[in-house]
Parts: sequence; structure tokens; C-alpha cells
Amino acid sequence: MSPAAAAGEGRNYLVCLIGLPPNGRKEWSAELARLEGKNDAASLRRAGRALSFLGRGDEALKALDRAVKLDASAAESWAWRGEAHLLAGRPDEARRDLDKAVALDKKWAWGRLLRAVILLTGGDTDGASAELKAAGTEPEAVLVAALLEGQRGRTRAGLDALDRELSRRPSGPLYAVRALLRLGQGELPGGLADLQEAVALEPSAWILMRRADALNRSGFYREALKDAAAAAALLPDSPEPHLQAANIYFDQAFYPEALAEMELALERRPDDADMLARRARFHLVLGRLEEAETGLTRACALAPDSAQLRYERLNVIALRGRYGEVLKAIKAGALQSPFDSYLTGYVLCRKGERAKAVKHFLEAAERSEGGFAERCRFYALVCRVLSKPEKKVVDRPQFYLCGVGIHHPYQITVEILRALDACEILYNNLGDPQVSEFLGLFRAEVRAVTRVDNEPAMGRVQRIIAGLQIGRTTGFVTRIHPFIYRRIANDLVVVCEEKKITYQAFGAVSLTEVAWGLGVSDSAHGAQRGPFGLRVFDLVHLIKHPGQFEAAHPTIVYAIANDADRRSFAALVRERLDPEQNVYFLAGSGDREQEVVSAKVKDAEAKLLSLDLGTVMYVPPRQKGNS
Amino acid sequence: MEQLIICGLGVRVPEETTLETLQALADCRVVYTDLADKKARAWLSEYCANIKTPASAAAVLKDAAKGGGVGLAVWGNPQSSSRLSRDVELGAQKAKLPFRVYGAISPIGSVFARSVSFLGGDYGYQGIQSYDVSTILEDAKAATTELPLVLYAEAETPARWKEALKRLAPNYPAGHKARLYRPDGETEGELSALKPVERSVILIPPGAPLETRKTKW
Repeated sequence: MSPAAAAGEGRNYLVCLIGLPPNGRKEWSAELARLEGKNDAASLRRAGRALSFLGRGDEALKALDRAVKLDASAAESWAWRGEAHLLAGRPDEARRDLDKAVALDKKWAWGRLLRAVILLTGGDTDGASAELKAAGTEPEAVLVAALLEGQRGRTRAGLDALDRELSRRPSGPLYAVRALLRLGQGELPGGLADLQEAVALEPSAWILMRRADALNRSGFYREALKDAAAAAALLPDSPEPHLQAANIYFDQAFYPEALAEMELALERRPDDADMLARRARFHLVLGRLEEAETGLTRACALAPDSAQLRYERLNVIALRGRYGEVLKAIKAGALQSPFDSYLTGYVLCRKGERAKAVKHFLEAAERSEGGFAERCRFYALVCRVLSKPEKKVVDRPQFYLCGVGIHHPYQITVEILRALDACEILYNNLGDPQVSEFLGLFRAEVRAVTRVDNEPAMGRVQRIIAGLQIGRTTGFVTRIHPFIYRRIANDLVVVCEEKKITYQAFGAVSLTEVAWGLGVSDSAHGAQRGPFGLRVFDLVHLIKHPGQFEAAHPTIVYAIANDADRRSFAALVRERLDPEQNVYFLAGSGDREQEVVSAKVKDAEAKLLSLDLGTVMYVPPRQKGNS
Repeated sequence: MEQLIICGLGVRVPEETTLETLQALADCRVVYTDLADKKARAWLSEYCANIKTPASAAAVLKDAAKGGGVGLAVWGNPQSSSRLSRDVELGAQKAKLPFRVYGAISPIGSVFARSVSFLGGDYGYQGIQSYDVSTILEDAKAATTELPLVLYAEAETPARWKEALKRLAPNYPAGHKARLYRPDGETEGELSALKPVERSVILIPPGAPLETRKTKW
């Protein structure tokens, strides 16, 4: 996550500030018991804070609403309600309350500090800076100040301030905030180490959840789930840890587990339209369209003004094939521009009226911008390509194996597009809602490939193959290239051959091409070439066969290896190349955010050790003059 | 929009062309392409109004400097399969001309799918190499026999192909077989007996099986 994106999560910042260690939970629970039955403003404020920290957001807000009614002149009433809104993920309401709190008492440091947090959340760094000055020397101010520096792109200054404070009084929140800044800079191991310290000093639910995020990003999803479970135990009334666990399970394609966690989250906040919509998106990816529609209908009833939810509901109805109903609703003005044109195009595409759909997608693109406009133009092109007659296919196979590149679905190829259009059933293991939406353009029934814990890799494959039906062409869609580091595709081929199922495989843009291209495009790379071509290796193989690594040749290395092997490879690179020469890393494989970094050969080991398992390296040919 | 878009169209055009690339090219005022395949050129012209054949890398760069969006579309992957696109990219870097490269399926990626070969894991190749015919003609030792070799060209004469295979053959055991992929189909045969046409890709297995490779040949 970039520092700016991290700064958007004001709630995270706030919870780092306040934390909730286990003994804190006991204290707040005891406080709550002591306050039971008391209805004066001060007691309600105190109870509201306790409820808020204990994850009982709705009850907290009810108590704080009453506190505001009873004593609207107290800055604390507004501030604590603002804090509760922020913790519940409602920044606009939080901002209004905190403005009021500061207007009532400009000298109250904690009010100014909370307002600094909410301003920072909204990206107003100047405003946050002014509030911080007004907050004076409150010890927590250093945390917000460090985050402010991070958001201004001066992460180093923020880290320096935290280092100074940590040397004086180490604390969980200080380590947690330093972790946020480090993670924002892509320093995953450093960020994780800080979170370990933070948890050791102060195992609050919120810090555990931050560590769960970092662990999940590092590929350690089981450990991440343990942290989310520990957070849930500390905050039994809060939906947040369950929501986090649901997202982690979902990322890992453990869909039944993800849904179970989502149900636990919804039990704790049953009338939350956002969470109902989130569950519906899970259902959608799983092809459980009826449940998705039911959930979205309820979410729409809870949030009748939400255009987004109306759109999502109509989209599901389109996927259920009730095209007339959708087009009628659009005509009646159910959707605003550009979603009216977009969904009209979507419906027409699904109906097979591709040439007609082009116009609607282009209209939607004209009226929008950014990523949505890009998607509309892409869908228009999909429809253009599909509207042209296909070359006659003599023997269509029973099964298609398709990769959709890295920038999916945009990197899909023409032949895969045609194959998807011919399928009646489409399996995919991407779990990306954008891919699910894209696959919805076709007539096929879309099914997600679920992982089952401790199941052998072949288990998923057998479930896919069991779903094949004679006469119904089936496809499997996966990320990047299906035959490069993709066991599932290998296993599918093995089973197809065993069972004499006819199949066809398609290539896709892979990390080999991307890593190579990124290195070559770097201005520091220059005209260095070597022989025109390249070598590609698995890192572990290469350290066992160092003779195959010829420094005059451009080389790609898939670095799926432990630290010891990575160190051995870094030593090999140091031995063959000039220490000042650059090497390039493409980190964050698959669906994760990709990161491109370069490092001098002399620093390559540290960089390689800091990057995730899916990292791919480009080692340019040795520059002239090197030995 | 960048002044210059450098794109690969994949090894089999249009089948392996990505829609991302097609979109980028469709937005250009002019698209230069050195594609030899007439059918592929005709297909591209359905999406790109103004198609031209580049006289040189310098000519593409000169036009791009005028602005308005110029595209270069080449066979294969632009940064690994085409010397023209590498020259254009280096020229753009030197001239500080804003450009963007769109990746595409390289001969390695294409041949993996067509031959059902894998890279990685305990089921696939642990290493592979890829060179164009010109490279082998310059130095047949550029390729090692310890790794599978993907040998490719988009527009080489059969005579140069034959010469390249002739230079490679002595490095391999007698009777060593390889698989040839041509636009009209695929065949397997001894290196010296293969008959590549202008646009072909050949997958040559290693001289001795790689110890960790389990994939059948």
C-alpha cells in the first residue's frame, strides 16, 4: 500500500492511537458494568467510548447520541461520537462531530488530535498539521505527526520521529505506526517485525488485525487468520475481525469459510447495507446468484438512496437472465448516467447482441473517466471482436485452459475471448470481482474453484473434471500464463489425458515477459543487450547448475525459494556481475499489487530477501567492461 | 496519451493478440507494423484506420515526435522478439519521447501452450532459453544444449533457417528430435529434417534430459 493509500485508512490510525490491550478490554468492560443504568451525559459518554472500543459500534452511537442530546455544550460529547463514527468507518459523520467539538473547546488537546486524524484521513495534510500544532505536546501527537509526514511523502522524517520516540518509551502503538509507514514503503519484513514488537508489547485487537493484514500480504495467510481469530476473541461483539477473516479466506479461495466468517460479521451488525453488499459480492463470485439478489434487495431497502447498490442488484438480475426486467428498470430511470448505458450494453452483450452493445459501452465511456471508462471501452472492444464472424471451428474440444495475463481481464487474447464465448460452463480461480463481472458478459454459467483446507492439489482438479458434461463445452480461467508456475493447470492436463478428455490450452502474457520488459524499459538499463534472447530459470535449479547462468545473457529468475537459496543466488550474481550494475525485481505476483524495484548488484541480496515469494528477477546482461 | 505506443501482437496473429494491445493501437493516429503476414495486416486494419510499413526505427521516432499518438505493432513480444521495436524503444528513451510498451505473448509463452509444456514446480522445466534465428547465425554457441531452446523468427528465409539448424545440430546428439510450429500446423522431426517457413517457432529439448524435469517430451 502506498503511504497515501495507507493514510486513507484513518480508522486504522485512530485504533493504533487508542489500541485495546487485553487488560484494556477488562477495564472497559468493568467500566461498562459500573455505568449500567446511569443516564447522565458524562456516564453515557463514558459508556459510549467503552462500547466503541469493545467493537459494539451501534450501541456506542446510540449512547453517544443521547449524550449529545443531554449535553450538547460539552466538547467531549461530540468528540467521542466523532471517534465512534470514525471507528465505525463513517468519516463524514466523524468530521462533522469533530468540527463541532473543536469549535466548542479549542484548547482541548485530545479534540484537536482527533480532528487532525480525521483531516489526515481526508487527505488534508495542511489542516492536520495545524491541528497538531494546536494539540501541543500530547504524547500521542508524535504518532499522528509521523503519519502526516508519511502522507506528505516524507516517510523518512516520520520514521525518524518515531525512532526517537521509540528509544525513549517503546510502545505498541509506536511500533504499529512505524509498521504502517514501513509497509507503505513496501518494506514488508521491516513492517512485520514492527508489528511483532507491537503485539508483544500490547496485543490489542486492532494491532493484531494490522499484523493479520501484513501477514496475509506476505503470503502467510494461516498466521493471518490466527491473528484475526485472536482479535475476534478480544472484540467478541465487533464484526471487524470476522470481516477481515472473511476477506483473507476469500483471497485464498476458501469460499465456504469466507462466507461463514461473513455470516458471523453480519450477526454482529445485521442491518449494515455495506456488509450485506459485500456478502452479495461473495455470492456473485461463487455463482450463487439467487442469494446475491436477496442480499442486495435487503441492502437496497436499508440504503434506498444508494445508486451503487441499485446498480449491483440490477446487475445480478441481468446475470440471472431477466433482461427485460433490467432494461425496463433502466428505462424508468433506476440508474444514473453512465451506469444506465453500461448496464444496457452488458445486457445486450449477454443476449448475444454484440454489435448493438458496442454503442452503449462507448456512451458509458464518454460519460465517465478513470478505470471505469477504461473498462467500458474494453467491453466495447470485446463486443466488436465478438460481433465479427468466427473462423469455423472443426472439432471444438470439451475443455479449454485459459490464462488471462497479469493485467486481467484486459490482457485476454482474441482466441481466448472466442473460447469463452463458446463455453457453457466457466470455472475460474481468480476470485477477482472484476473478472467475475467480465465473465458475466458471456452466456456461460460461472463457477469459482474453491480450495479445501488440507486437500491434495489434485482435489480441486477432480472437482472441476467431475463437473464436465458431455456436449457442454467447459473452460477454466486462471491468472497469468496457465503453464508457468501453475500446478492446477498441470494437474488438469494430467487428468484430461488420463480420462481422454479433449482439451486445448492457450498462452498468455506471463511474468517472464513483464519482468523482462520492466527491466529493459528502465532508463538505467540503456542499450546493453547481450545475445538477442534470454534464459529463464527457477532459482533453486540455477544455484544447483551455476554454469547455466551466463552473465552475458539476459536472464529471468523465478525466486520461489527460501532465504538460504536466495542468499546463494545473490552470491552467484555478485560473483558474475559488477557490484554497481542494476538488477530488477517484479514483486507481488498474481493478483497482488505489483511492485517494480531495482537494486545494485551489491545490494541485491537484501532486496531479494525483503520481497515476497512470488518475486521474479530480471538480471540484465553484464555491462561492457565487467570482468 | 503517450506519443508512442510500442506493442507486440503475439506469435500467432490475431489469435494471440491481447485486447489491451488492440485498444491501444486503435487509439493511434497511425500504426506502423512490419508484419509480413498479409492476413494479419488486414485484420489489424479493421481496428486501426491508418496502417503503414516502417522504413526504419528512426522514421517511426520522427513521426512520433510530431505527436498525436503513433503506434508500432510487431510480431511476438516487443522487447524480446523484435529488434525493430527494441531500437525504437531505445531511440525513444534517448530522445526523451514519452512512450509506453504493451507486453505480449513471447515465443516461449506461445510454445508452452502449444506443446503443453510447463515451467516451474516439480512437474515442469526448471530452465529454458529463447533466441531468434539471427542470434544463432551470429553465434551457434549462444544457446546451451543443457536447456530446452525456443528458436524463432517472424520473417527469415528458409535458407537462413536451414543454416541455423545446421549450425545447431552438431551440438546435439545424433537424431535429436525437435518440434516445429508453423502457421499451417506442427510437426516433429530430427533437427536437420525440419522445414521451417518464414514465420516459425521450434522447441528443441535439451541434449540430455534435465535431472529435475518430469514433463514428458
